[in-house]
Amino acid sequence: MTVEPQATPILTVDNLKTYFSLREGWLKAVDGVSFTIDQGEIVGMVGESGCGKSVCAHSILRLLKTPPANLSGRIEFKGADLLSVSNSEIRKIRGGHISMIFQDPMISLNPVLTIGRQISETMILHQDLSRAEARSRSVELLEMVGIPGAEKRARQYIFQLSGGMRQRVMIAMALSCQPEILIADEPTTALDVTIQAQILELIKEMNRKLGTAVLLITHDLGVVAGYTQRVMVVYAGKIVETASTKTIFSRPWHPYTIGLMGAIPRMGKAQDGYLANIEGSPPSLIGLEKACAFHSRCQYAMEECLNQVPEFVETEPGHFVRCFNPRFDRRQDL
Amino acid sequence: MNETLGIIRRYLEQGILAKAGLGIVFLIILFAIFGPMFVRFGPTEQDLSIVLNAPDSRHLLGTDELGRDILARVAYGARNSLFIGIISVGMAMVMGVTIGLLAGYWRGVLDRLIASLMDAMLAFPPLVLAIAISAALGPGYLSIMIAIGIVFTPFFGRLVRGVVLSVREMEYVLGARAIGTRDVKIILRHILPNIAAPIIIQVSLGLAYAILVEAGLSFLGVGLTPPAPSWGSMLRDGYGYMQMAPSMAISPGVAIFVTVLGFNFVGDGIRDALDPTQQRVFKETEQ
Amino acid sequence: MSEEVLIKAVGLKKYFKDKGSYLPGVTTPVTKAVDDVSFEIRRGQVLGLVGESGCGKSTLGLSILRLHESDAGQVFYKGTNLFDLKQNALREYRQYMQIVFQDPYSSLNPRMTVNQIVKEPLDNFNLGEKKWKADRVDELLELVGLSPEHKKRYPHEFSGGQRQRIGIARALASDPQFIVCDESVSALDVSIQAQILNLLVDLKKQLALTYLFISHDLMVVYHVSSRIAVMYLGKLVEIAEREDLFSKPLHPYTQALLSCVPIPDPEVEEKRERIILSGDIPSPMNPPTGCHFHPRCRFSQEVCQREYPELRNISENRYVACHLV
Repeated sequence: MTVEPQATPILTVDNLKTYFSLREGWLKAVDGVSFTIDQGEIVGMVGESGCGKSVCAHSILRLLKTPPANLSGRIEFKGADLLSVSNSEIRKIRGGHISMIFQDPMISLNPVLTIGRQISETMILHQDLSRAEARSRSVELLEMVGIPGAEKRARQYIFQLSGGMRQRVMIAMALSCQPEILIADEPTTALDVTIQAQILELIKEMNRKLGTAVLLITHDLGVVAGYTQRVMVVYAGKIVETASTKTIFSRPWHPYTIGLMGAIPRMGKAQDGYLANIEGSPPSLIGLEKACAFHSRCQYAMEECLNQVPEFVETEPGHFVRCFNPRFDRRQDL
Repeated sequence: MNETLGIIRRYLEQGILAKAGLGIVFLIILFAIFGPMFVRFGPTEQDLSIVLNAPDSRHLLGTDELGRDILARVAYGARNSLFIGIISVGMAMVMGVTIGLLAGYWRGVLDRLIASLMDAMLAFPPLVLAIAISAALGPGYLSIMIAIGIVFTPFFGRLVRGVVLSVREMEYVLGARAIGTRDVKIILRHILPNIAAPIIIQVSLGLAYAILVEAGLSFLGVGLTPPAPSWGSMLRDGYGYMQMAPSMAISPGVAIFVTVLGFNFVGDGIRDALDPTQQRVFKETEQ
Repeated sequence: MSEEVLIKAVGLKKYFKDKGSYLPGVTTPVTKAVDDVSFEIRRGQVLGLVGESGCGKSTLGLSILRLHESDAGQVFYKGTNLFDLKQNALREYRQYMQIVFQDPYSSLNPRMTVNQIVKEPLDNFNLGEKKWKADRVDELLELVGLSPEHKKRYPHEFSGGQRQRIGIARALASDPQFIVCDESVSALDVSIQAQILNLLVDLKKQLALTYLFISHDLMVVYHVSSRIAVMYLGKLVEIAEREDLFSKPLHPYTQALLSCVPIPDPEVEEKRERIILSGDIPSPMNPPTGCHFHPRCRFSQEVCQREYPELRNISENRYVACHLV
């Protein structure tokens, strides 16, 4: 992490709530999430499956079908509230100012268009380039993301590429219009470890070179440790802890964060040792009661935890924990 | 059990068509079973003094060219149509599922043989093939049922083979082998229950089509022998008398139409009820 | 290491022939999923098998149990050559060798109750009377952390982690000695994964089991295994005791793999030297000549391109397939 980002927020999410109306009730996928993304920084959003992180990302760019989705809150970007701007406005923002890459490039890329054509499309749309200009720029972009033989590749189709290559193409597409923010939704989850390393290094390099801020969404704490400057831990639709990466790993306060870190196998633990695991499983997001969503699995739960939803507590500058009973726990104990 | 109730519930939550279809099928079945008991006249009872009458209080649908009560003939015709439909589709299902399973599970030469045979049969328009077989076997109940049964077998066979091909790759089938389950038991316990859904759908749609084919065969004269009442032969007979006694053709026509429609709706309803209802939440970007 | 050898694989080969064309003179491409693999597992050990997608590890796991028929080689279980057995005799041996699959959603028959699923092996092997079997099912469910009340329910009523437990119960039913864990925790969330890993470690101790633990996740493999084998494009490139492998990996691929694993510690990550391999994982349909790894290897020499390095025993319990070691 060599770049010190200027702490200028470019995106401010304020009390975002994304509820889905289902037959059984409201599914509160995102339940009051607030955070900012500063210019040029890489922020991690980490949580297990179903915690709402992906829905949160989709909400920012209004990629959800409403209904059944129901969004409320405010997302401030360049002076406008993304949740209330018109459809044509949000379309300009998608790809032009805020881009997104997804987990599975196979389904996110168009199988019947050549790669060059797909990358060009975005630029023609947002930047008014001519087809020829866009095409040569596409080749440049493919080189930038490290695809050898870019000229030839631009004329190929996605099925002719490997998983890692396809992700690079997605990244090229996403960065083609020099967006201020790149949202990466589990970009490496489907990739092998050696390819994952390549892609993450690429994202880091693009952040450094182009100054694009990155919202890196993942379930892998290792990825977060290596590639983000700040982290948000998400559980049951809410952020339960957020701090700088170094801080959160050395001083996790929320019992869920502590549990999560303890559950990861690492070197140095004897084979016969147990992984500190978190009993039980995540709650259903339908009909959440007025209580801390983690209380049934928490070994430090108190009376209050069953009756109220905890708010953020700033335990040290820049370190926020949503807990009535935050614990100070050194990493060595984990 | 719970599962079946869940399916029934989901079926009833479908739109009006599914429910209407269920109602129609139910009524037709009632009509076929009990109708003939309540009709005043026999289906072959001739009364040459009242030929080609319009509907009146005694003959609710009028009389045909031999003075027979049309309503009675429609009622008995319903029995015939349903009977033939159920038996022939039943036959097709048993044969089709068997060869589909054989082909799909054991593959190899057997599979290629069966698949080619089915493809060959499917190359013919079903009605044409049915006519050919029926004509070869001569008129009568049995030959119609055999004809329709044979013609429909490849529909089931192809369907089952396809589903078996995918189910046999499922990990739980591999798991069954790993715990020592024998092939026959794997087919009965692991494969069959999991391919039941499309088979059921095919059955309901098949019934609709079978009734249509039977009507077609009878219309063309290679179906049931007169004077046995059959909707198809009634159509053929009534065709010539459209101006004088339209009820002769319209009555069986409407009966066929309504029955086939009903079974179709039911088939669609079952298919939708069995579909895992996934809610589409994420939409594609618009550019 | 005085324990007996429970499983011994010798020269296993599993090739998939592409349908290809029937034109004369055109060779159909062959995918060598498992290409001459040999190893041993002693009783009570856990051999971890690690590798990336396409390396053939899952195929290897299935081949050992003859759930895939191999094209060459043999597997011995306590001295008996499994590959010599006919189907009926093989079936008898299946009691002793079981498998836990990766996908909790497709590894259980959705139309069978938990009771039926766990009871099936007991029925197949005729292990006891009706009452005994019912009790055994209860016992197994409790062993894996479920309750006998769950017997009447269907798999879809359970979460992923619970389904894996059901799968484990099924595998344990016939009282096996050897279990292949084929990516058994890969489809689970971190916190659930920890639960299941703990369960597997527990069961191993309690029931004196022997595992072949297959995973692409190095850290998970580290946690459960005593010995680890690294696989690349159908071949084993390194086998070593766990601590040896992680502290001093010898094969360049192992070194790269270890350096790419994300470590949840920002301080360590910052100082780390990552060996970023160039290029993609080659397709097993078209493996490079000589050493399969040479195109991506930073130490590659001329000999590496020419000749395939055999897996050599370079020290006690340590095997490497590399010309430069």
